[in-house]
Amino acid sequence: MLNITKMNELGCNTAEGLKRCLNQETFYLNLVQMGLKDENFAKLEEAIKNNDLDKSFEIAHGLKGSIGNLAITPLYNAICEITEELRAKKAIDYSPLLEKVKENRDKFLAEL
Amino acid sequence: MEENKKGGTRILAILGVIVVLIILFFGTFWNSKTANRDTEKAVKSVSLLYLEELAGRRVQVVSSSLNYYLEKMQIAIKLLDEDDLKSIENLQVYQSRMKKLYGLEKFAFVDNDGLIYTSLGILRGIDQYPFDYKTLKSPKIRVKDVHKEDKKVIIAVPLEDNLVLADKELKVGFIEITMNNLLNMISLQTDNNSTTFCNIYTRNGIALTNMILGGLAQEDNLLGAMKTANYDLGFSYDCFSKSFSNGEEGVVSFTYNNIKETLYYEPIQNTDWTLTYLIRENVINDKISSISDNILTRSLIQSIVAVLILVSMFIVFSTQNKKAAKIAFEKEKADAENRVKQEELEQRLVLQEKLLEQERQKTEADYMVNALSSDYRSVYYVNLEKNEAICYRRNKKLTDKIVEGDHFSYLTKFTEYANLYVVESYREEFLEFIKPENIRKNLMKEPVIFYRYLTSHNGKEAYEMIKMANVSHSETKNNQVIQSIGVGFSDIDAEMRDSLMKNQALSDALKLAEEASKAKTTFLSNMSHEIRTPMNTIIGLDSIALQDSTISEKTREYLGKIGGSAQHLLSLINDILDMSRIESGRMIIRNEEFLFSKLIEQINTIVSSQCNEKGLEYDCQLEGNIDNYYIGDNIKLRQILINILGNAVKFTPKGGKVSFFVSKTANFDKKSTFKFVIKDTGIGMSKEYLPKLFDAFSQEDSKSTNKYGSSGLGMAITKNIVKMMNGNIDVESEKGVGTTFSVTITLIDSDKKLTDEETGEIRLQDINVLLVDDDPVACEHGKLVLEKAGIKSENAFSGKEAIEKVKIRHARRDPFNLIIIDWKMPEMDGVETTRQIRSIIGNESAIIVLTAYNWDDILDEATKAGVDSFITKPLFASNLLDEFKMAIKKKNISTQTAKKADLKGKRILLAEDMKINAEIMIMILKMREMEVEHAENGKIAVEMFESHESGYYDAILMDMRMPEMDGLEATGKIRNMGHEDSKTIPIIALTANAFDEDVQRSLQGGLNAHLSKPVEPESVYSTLESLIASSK
Repeated sequence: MLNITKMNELGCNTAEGLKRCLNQETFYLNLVQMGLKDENFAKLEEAIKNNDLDKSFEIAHGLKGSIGNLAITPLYNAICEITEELRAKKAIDYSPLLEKVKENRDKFLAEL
Repeated sequence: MEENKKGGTRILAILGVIVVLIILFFGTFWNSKTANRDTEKAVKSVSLLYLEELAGRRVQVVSSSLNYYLEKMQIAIKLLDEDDLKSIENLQVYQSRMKKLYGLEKFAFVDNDGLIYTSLGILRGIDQYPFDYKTLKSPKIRVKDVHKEDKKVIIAVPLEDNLVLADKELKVGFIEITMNNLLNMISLQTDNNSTTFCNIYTRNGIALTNMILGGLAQEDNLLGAMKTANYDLGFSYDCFSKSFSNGEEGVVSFTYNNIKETLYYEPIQNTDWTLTYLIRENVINDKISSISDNILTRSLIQSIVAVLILVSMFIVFSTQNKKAAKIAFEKEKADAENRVKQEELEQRLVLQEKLLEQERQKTEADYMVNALSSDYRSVYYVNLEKNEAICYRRNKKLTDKIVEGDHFSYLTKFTEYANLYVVESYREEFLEFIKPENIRKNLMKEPVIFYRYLTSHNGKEAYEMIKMANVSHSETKNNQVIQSIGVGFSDIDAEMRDSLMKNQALSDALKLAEEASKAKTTFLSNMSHEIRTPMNTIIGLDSIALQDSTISEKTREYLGKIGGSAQHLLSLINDILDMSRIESGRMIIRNEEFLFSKLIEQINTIVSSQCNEKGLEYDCQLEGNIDNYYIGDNIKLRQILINILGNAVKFTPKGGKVSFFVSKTANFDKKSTFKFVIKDTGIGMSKEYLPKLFDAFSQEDSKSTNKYGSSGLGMAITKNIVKMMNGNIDVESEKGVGTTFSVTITLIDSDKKLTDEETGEIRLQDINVLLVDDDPVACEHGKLVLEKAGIKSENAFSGKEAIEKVKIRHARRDPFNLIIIDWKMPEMDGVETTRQIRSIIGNESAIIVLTAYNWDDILDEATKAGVDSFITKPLFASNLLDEFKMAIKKKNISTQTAKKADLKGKRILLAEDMKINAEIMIMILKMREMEVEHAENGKIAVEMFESHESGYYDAILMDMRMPEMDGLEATGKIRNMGHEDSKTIPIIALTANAFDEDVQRSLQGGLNAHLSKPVEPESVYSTLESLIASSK
């Protein structure tokens, strides 16, 4: 079960995340779970596959916001990387960046 | 026989009666003649006494008049100084002045060549004057033109040797007085019944006045006329003429033109004049003769009656013894009657003496009135009770018919006078002045009252003065009500015009001086401000240049020296500005709460570092129960103390000591008095210099200015500020030993207690500063200064740019703490920029205007526009922080009263596509008991807003990036919907990493604020609180 200690171990700034959730741990952990299971991760993967950069950016940007809000730092950093590239609409291969996001997300999903 | 006897007895009786009758008649005649002679003798001796007395008094009066002139002249000569002798013109001015001052007709000098210097020019003809200027050794009084009608009295005085005028030595000074004027003062007129006569003659018998002496006309020579007189026994012409010519005193009785007269003569001291007094004896004799005749007639009648009675007695009782007894009785009776007559005569003599006394008093009074009234044109005696005035002296110019001696109604005539001659602007006050009740009131306060006014005689204006004094008799003076007054009118035109002219000249001079002083202050102030602008660039560029790491050591040294000199120059300019502010009364003493220990700490930091640098010992001691907070002007107080301590450091050589003692000496009425003593072991000052210490631009050794570097204004400013703070500053000093300054200042006690919060410094790293200046150098320098102090700052190069930056910061809810704006900027100046900024951010940030100029003139306007404070260019971090703290303190007070809405129960529309974000936001909003309705994208949000009535939602939280419809578009649609609140409802943007351009775009799109994700709950609350409050 993912808890605060575990999250901290995995490099999250839970103090910040908790503060944003008015220090309500259960609420926070619920939101973390919800965030990790967000369907937008699948949508992002699909949009990149379709090379729809605009849509990809929009989704990545949204995810960046919510994961950032929850202060799931390692995952947030990975999303930030891909978001910035997408914002610049760089014609690159996004698979490694997407993979990085997936890797980090899976780390947390494994703890659920 | 019987018949014969009877006839013999009758004859005997008749003979007896005849004998008795003869004896009776002769007896009566003899008796009355004897009485007559005795009376005559007595009258004569009394008359002589009277003459002697009268003549003696008049001689005294003439002598004293002459002495009076002589004294005046001697005083006038003593007043002659070197300047007066520089030129003939100066001498003439002096003579005119003396003439006017002492009322002299002619006042002249004679030089060794016999030239006469008068106030009107130089004259020849000294030989016409009756004194020898070459040999004159003592003052002489002589008569000039003795044979002419218009005789002159000359009083000549020898002068000291050293009076030299244009190479000529002045030998003699003299004055000339018209004889008649002189004698007018003396009142020689004789009595009315032509019994006594008075005149003055020269030794050779020439009359000096135009009066007659008994039977003598003015033109008769006394000695000549007296030749023809018949002298009484014991007197002769030879004796008289000899005695008179020798200037002796004497008396002579004679008959002239069949009139018996007695002349008394007495010489007048210091002159060759003799005063004569003549009395006509015949008048007295006539009276005495008639008395004698009466006695004789009555005696005769009595005798006849006695004889008749005797005869009838004889006839009836007929005894010779009885007849004899009867005659003796009658004789006794006649003697008794004679005695009664004698007594009557004695009474008359007493009466005569009384008359003499009255005459003497009258003469004295006349003399007094004449002497005292000489300054007045008109003199009146006014009885206020009776409203009656008596004229004693009359201004000839007046047209009313009053003459000297007239009695008239006071108020009527005086009012008439006012209406005729007093000009309108003075008339009312004049009429007020002459009202009896006002006179009484004023004379109770002052012994003499007067009023100056302007008159107009035939269109010619002149100043006159009316003067009044109480002349009630001493016994009535104690009576509170004043009954009679003396009134004098005098001409004061010349003095008045002179004084008016002087006043005008003085006021002109004062105005000129004031203008000059004002011009000086303005010039200094303007110059100093103008100099400060380029100084700002010099200091700015110097410090920027010093930042350059590539410069050589030499250049660094030069730059260091430039910086030092520029700082010094700046301090001089600041001193001058302070001084001009003090002089123009623009310096203001603030009354603000401050931390006392902080003040002392700041002073110690500065002074101890200065002492360290110079190798001096520094010691600071505090005494007494000193509170933490006091109310006063701590910045000015610091200036005073730093100034004195700075001087102490400056003037104390290496190895010396500077001590600073602070003590609370008194506590009263919620105020505390502090004594600050600053003591040094420096070079000290001389006692002579100490009084000048606080004068502007004073320095004991002017050569030391360069050595110690100062404007000479420091102490003057210090003293002035101490004075403005109602304090006191003292100094004691001894040359070579040291100086001790004591400053006493009273501060208001504060109830405020020390809290932890206040002891903490402002965290410099937390301050955001916006520096607005059109000059890039100034901006760069400012940034550098702030950076050194650890303060983050942004620059804006115009007012417009500043406003944009402030708008964005405001929307981001991350305002600048401090905005520093240059005053003088093209297009939009600092004050206008402030006004516009304030219209956006309200009271949010502290705004300080930075200027090289004097801000006194714009102070009001700037404060109204929202400027919190001012600081001078160039920027120093310490000054800036002081002002900033002050502004923040003021803000704290004002923000407490700022409007805030209560968030409880407010309905918020949240447009957010990301579920997690929405969850968090809903949680946050619900914590403050707000209702939240969630829209998953912009389109839904627009529909939800549209489907509810106006006022349903209190605010909208709008995510910017959403599928279907983004936040910007949704905001645009809501704003244009036409709902009552669609224009006013607060819409707050929620974004991640928004750039300034994005913020700007969303502001233009109608959003009210821009919160950055991840959003802090507190900033959501405060934004909603203030926006909802201001939208309602």
